[in-house]
Amino acid sequence: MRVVVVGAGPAGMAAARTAADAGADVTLVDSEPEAGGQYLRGRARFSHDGVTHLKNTEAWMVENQTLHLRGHPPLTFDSLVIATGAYDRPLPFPGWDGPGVITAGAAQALAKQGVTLAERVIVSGSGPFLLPVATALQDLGATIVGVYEASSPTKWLREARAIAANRHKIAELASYRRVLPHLETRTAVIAKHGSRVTVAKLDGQWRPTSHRTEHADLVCVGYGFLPRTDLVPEAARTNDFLDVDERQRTSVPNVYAAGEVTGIGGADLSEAEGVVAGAAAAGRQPPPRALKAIRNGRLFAAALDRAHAVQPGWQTWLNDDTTVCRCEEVRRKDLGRATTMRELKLTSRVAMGRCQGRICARNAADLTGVPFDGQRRVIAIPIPLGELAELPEEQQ
Amino acid sequence: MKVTFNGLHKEVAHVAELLPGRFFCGIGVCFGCVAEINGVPEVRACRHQLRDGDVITTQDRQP
Repeated sequence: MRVVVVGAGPAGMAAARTAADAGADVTLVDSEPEAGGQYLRGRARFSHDGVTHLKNTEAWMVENQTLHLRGHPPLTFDSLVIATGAYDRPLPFPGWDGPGVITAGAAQALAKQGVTLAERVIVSGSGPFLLPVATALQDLGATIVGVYEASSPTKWLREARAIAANRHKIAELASYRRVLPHLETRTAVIAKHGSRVTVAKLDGQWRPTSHRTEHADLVCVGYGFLPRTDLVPEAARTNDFLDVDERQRTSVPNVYAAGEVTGIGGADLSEAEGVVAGAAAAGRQPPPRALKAIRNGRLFAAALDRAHAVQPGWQTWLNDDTTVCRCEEVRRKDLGRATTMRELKLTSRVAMGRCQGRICARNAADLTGVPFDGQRRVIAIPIPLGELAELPEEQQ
Repeated sequence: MKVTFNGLHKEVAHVAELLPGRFFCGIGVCFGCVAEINGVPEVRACRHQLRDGDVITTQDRQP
């Protein structure tokens, strides 16, 4: 049984270990120099009998039972586990494409390398991830000007069932108590010009009700996450996250998914999903404990999702000249009146640049009312033509 | 790290400092930080571990 796992974060490592323990021949493919994913960035020391760990290796296409890789011969598999995680969703505002604005995930990744980039820092977005980011920046000596949460997180504290099943999550929040005095809810950065940052109070729809000026050198933004689902463009999904059954099977035969590609619920839920996906991919019954952890974790994830869902009032933060697509420098007024995503891309060039819409497609769809059809690309990463031309001929 | 950036000598702790307005997602998704590094074109700088002597050139528009 050949099992290939893509992504060496908490979900992928658990899937690889579990499948190998079940007797499968496992290859764990990861684009980073060390295992751990974004969560454990470089701090996981992964080594497991029966698992071959391909580091610094990017996967770019799944074709039948074969995974194509950059700089490495393709791998054939009986089962494939997608554990490629997620990345921050930024929302555009005037100045978001200038210096001094990065994603919350970028700030976290830099902090894990001991770098802050600036003295006075704002973290603005929605969701509990803002707190560890602000904490990491503060630990490195940055002055936290504010942590702005656009939602009203007291909403989910009322979801008793989700809380009762996940007490450890509440304990985790306590570890961020040093930044809590800087936390302001129903608040967001809605413009930045140089170090002058416009901070607004928001209503329930995220429309500004009042605003003030703060001074900061760096604004870190993250309004939830978008999944990295490029390898399985045809897989069924909800709100772009991959649909999976109770064994983490996607709608694509022999392809499983685990971790944040299926929804955002934290590292422990990702790990439990990895255990189930790894067992199922190797043809075994998933352990009941992991199945139970997934049920509980998803209660919490769903409660967070309801409380921190992006509200449409963000669209009032932009003016006509605000950049929507950073790669192709498409402004809001360039978006036009398309009715489909395809038409929108061809007429405005939004989502046609290097990032292939990863950053802007969802926002452009929301701004124009065009139905968002999920992120479907034939090739997962841009590959120089020369590299494609050098691929060996297919064996007939 | 002592590096050469667009022909100028710079000393920085992280490649992000060289690319304000371009370094954005930090994890290889947005392609904002694409640059030529040590002769290799189209490298996402955020995925490059900076070393002394690196030569970094941004290929298209300046921020």
